[in-house]
Amino acid sequence: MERWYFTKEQLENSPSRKCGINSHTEHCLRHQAATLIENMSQSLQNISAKTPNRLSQTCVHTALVYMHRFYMCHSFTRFQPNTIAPPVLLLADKMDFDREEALLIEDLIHAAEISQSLPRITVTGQYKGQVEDIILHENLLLQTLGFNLDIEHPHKHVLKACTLIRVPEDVVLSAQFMASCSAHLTTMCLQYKPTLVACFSLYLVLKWANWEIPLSCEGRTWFTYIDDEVTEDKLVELTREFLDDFDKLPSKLKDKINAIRSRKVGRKTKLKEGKLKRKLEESVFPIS
Amino acid sequence: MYEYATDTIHSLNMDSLDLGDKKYDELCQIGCGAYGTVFKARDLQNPGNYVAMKKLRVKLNEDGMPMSTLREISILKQLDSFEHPNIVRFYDVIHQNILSDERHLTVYLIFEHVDQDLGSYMERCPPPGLSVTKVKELTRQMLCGVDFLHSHRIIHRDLKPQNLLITKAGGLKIADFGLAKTFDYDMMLTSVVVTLWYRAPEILLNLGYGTPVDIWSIGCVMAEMWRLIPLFCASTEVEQLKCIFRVIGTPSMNEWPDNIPLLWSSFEQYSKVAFSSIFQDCCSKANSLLENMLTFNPAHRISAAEALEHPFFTDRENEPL
Ligand SMILES: Nc1ncnc2c1ncn2[C@@H]1O[C@H](COP(=O)(O)OP(=O)(O)OP(=O)(O)O)[C@@H](O)[C@H]1O
Ligand SMILES: [Mg+2]
Repeated sequence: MERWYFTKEQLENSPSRKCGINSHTEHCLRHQAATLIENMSQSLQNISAKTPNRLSQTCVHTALVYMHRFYMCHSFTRFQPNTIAPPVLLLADKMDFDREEALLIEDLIHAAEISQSLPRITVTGQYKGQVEDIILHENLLLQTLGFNLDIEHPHKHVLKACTLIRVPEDVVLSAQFMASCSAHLTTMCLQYKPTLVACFSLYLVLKWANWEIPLSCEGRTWFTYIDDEVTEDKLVELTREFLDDFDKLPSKLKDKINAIRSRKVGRKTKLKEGKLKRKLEESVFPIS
Repeated sequence: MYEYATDTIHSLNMDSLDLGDKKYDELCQIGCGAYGTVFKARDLQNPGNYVAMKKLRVKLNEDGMPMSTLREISILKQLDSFEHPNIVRFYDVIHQNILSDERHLTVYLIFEHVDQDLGSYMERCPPPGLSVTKVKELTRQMLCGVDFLHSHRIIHRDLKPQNLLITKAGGLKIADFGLAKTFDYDMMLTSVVVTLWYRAPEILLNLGYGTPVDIWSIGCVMAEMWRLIPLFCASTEVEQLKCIFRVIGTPSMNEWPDNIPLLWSSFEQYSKVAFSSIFQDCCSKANSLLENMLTFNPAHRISAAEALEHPFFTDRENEPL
């Protein structure tokens, strides 16, 4: 797995950079690819001929990680986001063990058309070409990713942390949303373990809400229970990086993030009994 | 569009070579099984180490790489992370750059290379055969490995001496598990005859089956270690069933499954043979374990976890032979 974590220097020496794409442009292109993947997954919900294709949050996240990894091996000059998005989603969906039947390429092509406001293909030959194109790129993707297709998501760690410190549901949802955003707006999945990304996501939401989590009865900070290598300094560093990336991108996500930022999530919501899974009754954290 | 894509893939092969190729140097073919060929190869990144490469042809379907293949390879990887001592290590998957023909691609599964399989180990075993201690030890290891697989909901389906590898240190490792759906019957290399000798009755009768099929196979292998000749050997399903019934007795009409084409009445009525007469030098505990494993009704067959608790393994004192 070490193979898929990169230093800042390595990120700066990406294949796209070697092909003359500057850092900012690559950042925008990654975000563009991510947005396309997200939009396609939304479109897919409405067009399936059979059962609805409801791709889970984690499935989309898997697709985003595949995409980020792919562009650490290949340049954007060679592979446009719209070529890579469909096979990436196809593969992520096949690896989503909660789904019994895989997506149909037919639906995927349709979703790509809707997401890019393209007209529907009507010529049979053209359609067949598109199918072949997706299959070939899926194959290329597999070759690039080397069958390292199991992706650990930050989301499950976010949930674990939220359960541990007992925060209200809107905090949970906001932190999950931030975890997803990390893959849309940054390359954190190429740099940090999912546990660290999870801690960062919740940390930021708590910080925006001005919510202090006291030390546990063992005298430890909450995030060390998720990953004992995580430190406050590291979380501050990630926050700075995130806000940096965030400022640079024109993105629809901004509004929603800003809303979380200013709404002071969780502040006034009283913790409702039973609303949150109280798995850790004997939690080391008191109810704040 | 199509031409453009093919073009891209071809030109891409150049850069991706260092990703997959030339990590292993193929030396010789070790075997040819039902689903693919096995080669011994040198591991170029770890000098002095050898790997076994299993070459498989995967049929692409209309939606690309089959979902079952992807998931099964991923399960192989996940299981490998447990590093179970009785499961052969799974190192890597390599797949060929371009489609070898229209709808197939070649996938290499890279496993640790183990010196020999149980088949050749038994062949080379000098007369009086394997000691009780050895049989006990190897059976225990088989059960440990299978218990691990079963607890991860993997059914091997094809346990037999050729899929049980014996290390230099005398450890036993199970190979070829977990590819059940991917490399199903329609993918088999047609020229290879699949052995029925270790198949449980429910498979031979074409019934639904589960983890007990592996216990049946272990029973057959354990018996074979004792006698150094296979226990039940026939070349058709019906003959194989007859062979089995001659030893465990033809099941009663009540025990016979409903709604199957093979009629109970088409089998001769054999009565059960005392296991002690087949395995003359086997202790009573071993015989009792064998009987529990070679039970016709899968629901009554002992499980791997239960078998490991059987007195054959747990009793300390050495019963005289
Ligand atoms: N990891 C390994 N190390 C050394 N030898 C191996 C390894 N895996 C398989 N072999 C050898 O290769 C032979 C052929 O293996 P293969 O699995 O292709 O065929 P099989 O076991 O006869 O049939 P099946 O396809 O049903 O498993 C085996 O009998 C075994 O001796
Ligand atoms: Mg084999």
